[in-house]
Amino acid sequence: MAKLEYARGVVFRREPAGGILFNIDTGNLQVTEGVAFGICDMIDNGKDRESILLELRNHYPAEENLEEDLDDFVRELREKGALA
Amino acid sequence: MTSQLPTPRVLYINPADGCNLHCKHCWVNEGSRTGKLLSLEQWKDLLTQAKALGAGYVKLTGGEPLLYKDIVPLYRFTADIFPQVAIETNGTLQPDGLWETFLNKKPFHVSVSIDSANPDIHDEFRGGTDAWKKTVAFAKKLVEHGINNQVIMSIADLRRQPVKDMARLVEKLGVSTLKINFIIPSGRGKNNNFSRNSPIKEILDFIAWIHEEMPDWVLPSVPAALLPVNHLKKLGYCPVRNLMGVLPDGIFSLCGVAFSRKDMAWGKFPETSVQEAWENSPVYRMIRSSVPGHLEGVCRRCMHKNSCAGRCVVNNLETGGSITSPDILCQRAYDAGLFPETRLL
Repeated sequence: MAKLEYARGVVFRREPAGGILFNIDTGNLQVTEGVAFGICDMIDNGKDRESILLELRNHYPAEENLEEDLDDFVRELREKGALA
Repeated sequence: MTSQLPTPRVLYINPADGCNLHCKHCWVNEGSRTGKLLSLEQWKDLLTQAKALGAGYVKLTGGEPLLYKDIVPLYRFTADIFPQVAIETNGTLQPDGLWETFLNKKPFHVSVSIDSANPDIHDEFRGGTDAWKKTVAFAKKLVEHGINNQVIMSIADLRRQPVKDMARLVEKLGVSTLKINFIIPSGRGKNNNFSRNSPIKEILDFIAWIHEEMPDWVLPSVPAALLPVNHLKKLGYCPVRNLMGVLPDGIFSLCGVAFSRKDMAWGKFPETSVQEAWENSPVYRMIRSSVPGHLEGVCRRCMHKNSCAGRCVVNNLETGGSITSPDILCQRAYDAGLFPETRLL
């Protein structure tokens, strides 16, 4: 199980129109909407990669590239320093 | 240049002294008029110096920039050496050769001011007969010439119908965006401005109404913390730490504020070079040392502090007495318990 965890100093805030990932140390801020918001929300709730992928497959059964898209997004979050 | 200094990335150039209109909210020439205008050659020299220091974006503003007698060659020169040249104009003037020059080298962005869909209301606010008709004609030309455009509407109250009417007009003209500017208490706006006239709850409801009911190309100019998440990506921030303004006589200013506040002016081109001003002006030094690090009030606790930087230090200076005072809308929202908790640290 690949554990996903926000980096130290990164907080996630939920709002009706989306979410914000905020790095308290650097002041960097990332807006998330739609599926990205959903993924960030699940990470914030402690879900691992497999659970998130399962959830996405349930929501978007017709989508073929979910796993690749999820991994790309996770990589992007890591590169931006949002994930540990 | 000292390596720790930020780059003067953004230049606000005010080439013409004053304006052909007399708008109710303007800060320009509320104090004394400026001195002898810089010549075209002097502006070229100044722009070349700024370019060498790393400037990449120039806004020709004012006062009314199109009043400057050499505005067309000045624009041509500026657009030749800078990747992004924007113009803020009242759109009532069309100097000879302007459109040909624009077509040859399109501006990055041109915004014109229209405050009402009703010509009489606009003309009364702007203090000029037929201003509305001329500006609408200018806006149409921008669209026809395929120039990136925007209409700016300045408002001092919360009436919704005028905004709806303006949105309809803008759509009809084919203009890309309608920016709603809330009049700030500076210059002639001191006595009739948005924050002074309205209770904060009603202001926030008004902002929410724009987001919920108006098309997404209607852009209220409000602090990031008061915008829904899905509108943050479209928000522009004041580049205050990288901003240099120059008045018509070569006085260095922060944006154009020194038109009305002489304490925000320091040094004069060409006696003072661009580099000397950028390095030594107490105004720029004060900004560097205090914004955003020493912002006060709710700004200190806000997650947008680094990017928003108090939104407008001029507004904050006028409303709170210091460039580190918090934005008045955010502070009033916070004091009333209406500031979004999710944006606080």
